[in-house]
Formats: sequence, structure tokens, C-alpha cells
Amino acid sequence: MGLLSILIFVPLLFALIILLMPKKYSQTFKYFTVAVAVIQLAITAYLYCQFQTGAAFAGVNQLDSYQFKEYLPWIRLDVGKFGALQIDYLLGVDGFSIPLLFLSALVMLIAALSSWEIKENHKGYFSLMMLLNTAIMGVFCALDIFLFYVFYELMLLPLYFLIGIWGGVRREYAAIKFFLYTLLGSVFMLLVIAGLYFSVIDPLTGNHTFNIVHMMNPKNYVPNGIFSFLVHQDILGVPARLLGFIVVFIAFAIKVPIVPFHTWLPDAHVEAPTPISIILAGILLKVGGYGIIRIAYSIFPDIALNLSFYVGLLGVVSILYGAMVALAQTDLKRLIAYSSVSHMGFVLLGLASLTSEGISGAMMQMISHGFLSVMLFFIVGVVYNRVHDRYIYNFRGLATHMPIYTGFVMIAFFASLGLPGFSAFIAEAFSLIGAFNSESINGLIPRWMAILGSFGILLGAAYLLWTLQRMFFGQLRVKEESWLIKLKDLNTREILTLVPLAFFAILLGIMPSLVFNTINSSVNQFILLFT
Amino acid sequence: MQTGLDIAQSTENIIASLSYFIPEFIITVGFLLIIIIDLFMKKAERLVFFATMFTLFLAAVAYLIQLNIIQTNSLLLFNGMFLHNSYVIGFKLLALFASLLSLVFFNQDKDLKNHPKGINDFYTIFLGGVLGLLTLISSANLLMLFLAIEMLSIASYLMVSYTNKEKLQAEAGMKYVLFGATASAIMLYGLTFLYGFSGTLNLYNDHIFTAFEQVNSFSASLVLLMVLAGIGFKLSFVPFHFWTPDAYQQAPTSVSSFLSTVPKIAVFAFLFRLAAPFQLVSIHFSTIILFAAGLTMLVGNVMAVFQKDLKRLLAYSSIGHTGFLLMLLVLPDDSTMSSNLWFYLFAYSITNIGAFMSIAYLEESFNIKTLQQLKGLGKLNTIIAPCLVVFMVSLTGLPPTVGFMAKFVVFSSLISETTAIGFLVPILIVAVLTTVLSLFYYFNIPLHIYLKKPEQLIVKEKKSPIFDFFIIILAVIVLIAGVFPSFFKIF
Repeated sequence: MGLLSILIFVPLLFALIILLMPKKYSQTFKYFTVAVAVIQLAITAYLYCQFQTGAAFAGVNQLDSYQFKEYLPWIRLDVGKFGALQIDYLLGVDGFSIPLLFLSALVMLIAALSSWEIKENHKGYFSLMMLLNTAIMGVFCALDIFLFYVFYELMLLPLYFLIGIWGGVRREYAAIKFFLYTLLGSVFMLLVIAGLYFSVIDPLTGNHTFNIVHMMNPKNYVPNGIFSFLVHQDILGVPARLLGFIVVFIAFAIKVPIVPFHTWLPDAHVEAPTPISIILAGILLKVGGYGIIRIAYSIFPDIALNLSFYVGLLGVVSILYGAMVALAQTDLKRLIAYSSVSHMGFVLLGLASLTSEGISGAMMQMISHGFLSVMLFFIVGVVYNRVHDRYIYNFRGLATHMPIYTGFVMIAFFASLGLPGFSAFIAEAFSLIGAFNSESINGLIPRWMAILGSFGILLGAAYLLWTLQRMFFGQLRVKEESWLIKLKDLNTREILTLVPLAFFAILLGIMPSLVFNTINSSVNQFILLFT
Repeated sequence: MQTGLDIAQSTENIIASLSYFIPEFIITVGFLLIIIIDLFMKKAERLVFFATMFTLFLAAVAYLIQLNIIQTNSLLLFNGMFLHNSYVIGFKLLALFASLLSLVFFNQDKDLKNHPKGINDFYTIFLGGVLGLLTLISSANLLMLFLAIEMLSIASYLMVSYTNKEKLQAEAGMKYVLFGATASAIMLYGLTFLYGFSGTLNLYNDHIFTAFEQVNSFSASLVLLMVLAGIGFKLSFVPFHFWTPDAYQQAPTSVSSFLSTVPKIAVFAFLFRLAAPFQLVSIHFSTIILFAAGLTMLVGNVMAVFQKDLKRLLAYSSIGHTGFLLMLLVLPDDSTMSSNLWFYLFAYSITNIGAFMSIAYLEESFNIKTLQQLKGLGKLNTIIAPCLVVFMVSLTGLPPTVGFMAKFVVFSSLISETTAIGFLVPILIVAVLTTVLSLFYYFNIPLHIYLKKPEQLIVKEKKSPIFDFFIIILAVIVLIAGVFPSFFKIF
């Protein structure tokens, strides 16, 4: 059993322990969760340090150069004339997954620390959160597409209950909407996965395989398979590979979320309790981005190349639309939710450029947004826990009343709007550089997209600074007098939670090489898929 | 019929065939034994229950022994009446397994136990039905098919109306009988056409299908539709599904559980053997089946969304699953079809029986019959409620449950045929969309259990530990088979 398996199954073990423990110990469950997250953070930090870089460890489409690999035969099912379904328990990481693993562990720790606000049914809450943790780690480690799918779907169930039971007023609506949206994308993806399986063979054994890495190599496709590279098959008059790419892309685009598939996000974010909002924004949106890179782009590079214009266009639309809708929000949490839509648009824009800068920027944006959105949602949670209100106009002049809090708010806001010195600046700058250069390097994305994208930064500055002005500056005034007593400044636990996030946001802004060095060889290997 | 055989040969064949008929024979003996016990002994309920259980168990053992010594090729017994091969036995074992679970369920059912007539007659009818469905799985002759289906049908009519005391239940039973009789008549009419075209009743006589080829395609399709009507009634696929919701809602829960699983296993096991020859002789077969499958999935799943009664909801859900299974019948390959059919039926049976058991438990312990009454149950019950959620997840087809594996197996066997079979892609899309739709109503159950606040206090009545035990076991199997399906996909 390797480190990756431990990383995945430690939370599951603790979920069982929590389930079996008597109810009277329910106050200790949150410490369990924190302990698990600390263990995971230690493991991922160790993996991150041990992670080797260089062309020989690039991963992407070379199975040998994945690191910390684990392999066990898992399911052998006879399905008739195609022989057996071969599903393997295959884990491994490369430059694209290792930073996201570390991010996930950190975000889970923050989520565990902010779970202090949960007041009822600790047993259910913490065991579901542990189950979610297992699924998340599994998604980033799986190299077998079936295993990936199982973990991917496994995330939905705990999230449904976590939003639905512990959420806000319209929680039932938000939970089922989130579930239906994601499932709609992923069940269609299941069909594509089945189709891919019958199109790809393992070059060593000659059997059909679910191995993601083998699916990236055109040589492993059988000539008469549905998704064959050479022989073009049509489904309903549309080329099969085109259809496959679109289905998979939409499945993950719903998760990212990309306009016009984003409408579940504001509801889910607003109704979810703070820790779950944190996990949603910090990790789940990245699962979407990761899926697009690992599955949609890597397995269908030929189609991705042709559709880059549209992918970039969707990115730009998301950036601008998200930012403009955010401008119109009066609920602080909704505003942050829409800012997520806008920021994740940069990931798509950078990716669509298929340049080294653009993809590095996209990865950086995912990580940076991971830290920053968690920070932002935690900040919303602070106010909401104290007075159970998030309406922006109900607060004014908080800067004098809660100075430490305002300090962190300013760090988070300025970092998010892309001020140089913070991680988001590097990420957005690289995405835009990639998009801008694309026209001269590979001609995939026109320059006007990069220019429009940079307007998104401007709009981001507008809504964030305006919110800062509305809520924190000016004369101190809140809706009810009693709130002034409730609105205490941050306590030690909250400061301890925010400090590492702010630290990483600044650290990556000053030393982006910490991430860039790790992902660089994988990014270069990834680009080779498209040539 | 068997013009070439003289009486001596025919008798020899029958005698030689008898040794293969032992399991069915065991059930016949059990059936008679129970009637006698019931006639001559008072208060024999416990004895009869164990006798029934023992009979089924013994039959299962006999099948297992047969399975071990079986040759690879198929055997036709009793002058071409009865088919004997490993597929057939696989389905029979599955049917017996589901019957055994149903039997335990009958024994726990309050409606049946408290019935003034006593439950012993019910067991007799049940064994008769099991005998009918076992012969149905094996039938190789049109006459045999009709007899077996009728045996099964009459047993199910009686089982549905056994505890008949209210007007509504009488109505449901009546609907069932009338629809059933009409469907049988139509099927019989179709079978006579088959005989008329070919001059043989034997399904494994090549002549029966080659003759079919020469008939013009309109008549051929008409005959096909007639035969499918009778079979479709038993499977309750659209448009022969009208009896299902009423019968399931009004029958005792254990009977609904039985009806929604065991006869389906038998009928599908038979239908899959018809599929390959029908595909060859009629180009319309695949189209008809796919059309019926799409319609069944749509009607079942859409109607289920509007249901308030739990049993009615499961009735429509079972219609939806039938539609999903029907898609498998267009596969060109016999062995793929049967093994995937087996696995899906296995997954569906354990999940569905588990779900019905949970509902019966809730009805007995908390007097819960509708979705509304489920509100706030999650706080009161920490064992059955999570199990029910597991069953719902499995019925939806989400990992890590057996329902997901079954769904995936079906998808993966169909996806590679999309270019070969017309209409398959749109029907697959319907299948995907209805899967998403099904989430909506299946998750209404956890939604009410966990997400809604209780309006009134739920009164707890009593508890039956056997139910607890079986529900938990089934939920665990559903999960284990979802993660390690290789252990369970035996055939």
C-alpha cells in the first residue's frame, strides 16, 4: 500500500470510526477531521517535496514517468464477445495533479477548522465530510478512467446531503439542482467512457483497457473502434470523436462552471454551510478544470485543437459575464460565487491558447483561486456566523469595528483582483500572455480574446473595491444595534485559518516558481500532444 | 408433431429426461406436501414455512449440482419441450434466490400473517408460481410457454388478491386478472399464427423461423406484436403496464416485491432466447423492441416523478428498469446478452427486494405509506433509513453500488453496437436522460427522510429484528457487489 492509497483511504477509515463511535463523543469528531486533514497535508507536502521534475518525470501521456504509481487489478467482468472488462486500481501523479493534491489537503484542513459552526448531527456531518475527502483525493490520483469516474460520482452523494441537511433556507432546491446538473453531464460521459474502452487496447497485453494514459496515444486505438483516430465513425451524422469531446467537455464544464452551465453554482454556494462552500470553491471547481485537462483535452487532442476558438470564447464569456453579474449582487456570498465563475474563466482561456505560458497560467489560476476563494468564503462565513446576514447594504464601516478582520479582507480582495505581488496576478497575467501570444505561435485564439479577458480584471477590481467601500469604509452602521456586540473581531482559530491562506497567496505571488517548476515538464509534455 | 418418432423412442426420451427434471420434481413434491400438511394439521404455519423454504433450498442445491456436471452444449428434453443448459440454470438459480428472499418477506408480512384464511394456502400458491416460472425459463415449445406463463399468471392473480378486503384492492386484482387474461388470449392468437406459418410448435425446430421469413413483413410484425403483448404484460412494458401501479400499491408489500422481481427474471430469461431468432427473421424486431424500451423508460420514469405513495413509486420505477433491460435484447450476441441480463437482473432484484423490505418495515414500525410521512425519519431511525438510501442510490445507478455496475455493463455492451443498430443512439440518449430524471424521484426519499423537518411526531409501533437483519445484509451486498462485482457476476 503506497502513500497515495493511504492518502485516499485514511479519511474513509475515520468515517467508519466516527460512524461506530457512540453519540456522546460527538464533540470530538471535529478534532478527528482536523487530525485527518493534518495527516493528509503532511503526506501531500512530503509528496510535493519528493516530487521529481524534468522530462523523465513529466507524466501526461507516458505511464512510466508518473510518480508514486500504484497498481492492483480490480474488476474483471465478462461482457461477452469483447472479453472481460478490465478495470484496474491504478494511481499515479504528475505535474498536473500534485499541486492540486496539496491544495485539496490544505482546503480540507481549512474546511475542517471552519466546521466549528456546525451545531447539529455531528456524526452524519463529519462522516460524510470524510467520505467526500476520500472521493476528492481519489479523483486527483486515479489513472484508470473507470476508477476516476467512481470517485467523481462518489463526490456527489456526500455533497448532496451536506448541502441539503446543513444548508440554508432553500437548501433542498440547491442540493437537488446541483446533483441533477452534475449527473446530467456525467451520465453522458459514462457512455463515452464505455465507448473509449472498446476503442482502446493496452499495447502490452492487447486487451481493452480503461487506462487514461493509454487512451492518449493514437497508436492504441483499434481501427474499427467508435473513437478511432484513423477511421472516422459517425454517430447521428456527427463525427464520433467530436461528439465524445463535447460530451466530456460539457460534463466538466458544468463542474468548473463555465457560462452557460453555471446556474447551479450560485444556489449551491449560497445555501451550503461555510465549510462546504469552501470545499466547493476550493476543490470541486478544480476537479472540473483538472478533468478538462486530463480527460477532455488529453484524450481528444485533435478535436480540442479544432475547437480551441470556442473553448477560448467560452472562457472570455465566463470572465466577463461572471464579473458583470457579480457587480449586480447584493448578497456577499453570491458575489463571491459569481467572482468564482469569472476567475475560472481564465483557466479556460489559458488552456485554450495551448501555449506553455497559457497552460501554466491556467494551472496557477486553479491553485491560486483555490487559496483565495477559500479565503473569501471563510470571510463571508465569519460575518454570517455572527449575525446570520450577508446583505451587503446591512453593513457599513466595519473597518473600525473589526480591524483584524478587515485586514484579512483587504488581503483577500486585493489578491483576488489581481494586484501584483499576489498569486492571482501571476496566474491571470500568464493566462493572458498565453492567450495574447497564441495568435502568433499557433493561431488558435485571436488577440481580441486576451484583450477582452483583461477587461475582466478591471471589472473584478470594480466589484471587489466597491464592496470594500460599501461594507468596510465610512461611518460604522449595521442593521440592528445588537449586531455590534455580536460582530466580534476574529478569534485565534479564525486567524490561524486565514494566515496560511494569505501566506500561500503572497508566497506564490512572490515565488511562482514553486509551482511553475513542478508543473513545467508536464506542461511541455502536454503541449506535445497537440503537435 | 414428432412424426419421425415412434412411441417407444418417445418414451425412452422421456425416461432419459427425467433425471434432469429433479429440481422441478422437488418443488412439485413440496407443493403437494404442503397441501397435505395444511389439510391434516392444525396450526402448522411454522412447519409449512420451513417446508416451503426447504423445498426451494433443495431445488437450488439440485440446480447447483446440475450446474457442476453440465455439458457445454444445450440439451432438449421431453421430446423438445424443455431446454437444459447452463444459462437456463443460471437464471433459475437467480429466480430461486429471489424467491427465497421473497419467502422470508412473506413470512414477515403483517397483512398475510394476520389474514383469517391463514398463510398456508398462500405458500402453496407461491410454490405453484415458482414451478411455473422455472418451467417458463426452460420452455422450448410454444405450448409449454403458454402453460408456464398461465401457471405463473394464475398464481400471481391469486397472490395479489389473497388478502382482498377493500374495494380498491378488489379493483386492482380485477384489473390485473382482466388485463392478464386479455393479454394471454392475444398471445395465444399470435402463437397459433406461428404454428400456422410453420406447422411446428417447437422453438428449436429451425423450420419455425424459416417459415416465418417467407411471410410478408406486415403479418410477421403483427404476429411478433401479438406474442410480445402476452410477454409484455408480464414484464409490464408500455403499453401493457396499466395494471402494475394499482396491483403493486394494493397488494401486500411482500407480494409487490415478489411480482416486481421474480417473474421478471423468468420472463426475461425466456425472452432473451427468442431475441436471437426473431432478430434474424424480422428486421422490425430490433426496432419494435427499442421503441418499446424507449417508451417504457419514458413512461415509467416520468410517471414516477408524480407519485406520492411509496409502493406506487417503486411500481413505476420497476417499469422504468424493464425498459432499460429491454434494450439488451437487440444485442446480436447471445452470450453477451444473457450474461449482462443476468447481472442486471441480479442487481435489480437484490436492490428492489431490499427497497420493498425497507418500505414494509417502515409501514409496520411507523405506519409510513407516503413520501410525506417520511419527513424527519432520519432522526428517529438510524439503521433502516440509511439502508433505504443505499437502495435508492443503487436503483438510480450511482457508484459505489451494484446498480451502477449493472447500468455500466449494459451501457458498455450496447455502445459498441451503435453503428450497427439503427435507433440505438436515440434510445441510449433516452436511457441517459431518464436516468437523470430517475434521480429526481429516487432522491425524493432521502430528501424527505433527511432534509425535511418533521411536521408531526412519528409514532413508533413495533420492531421485527428479522427485517432489520435482512435489510442490512442486502444493503451490504449492494455495496460490496458495487465495489467487487467480479465475485457476483457468476454467469
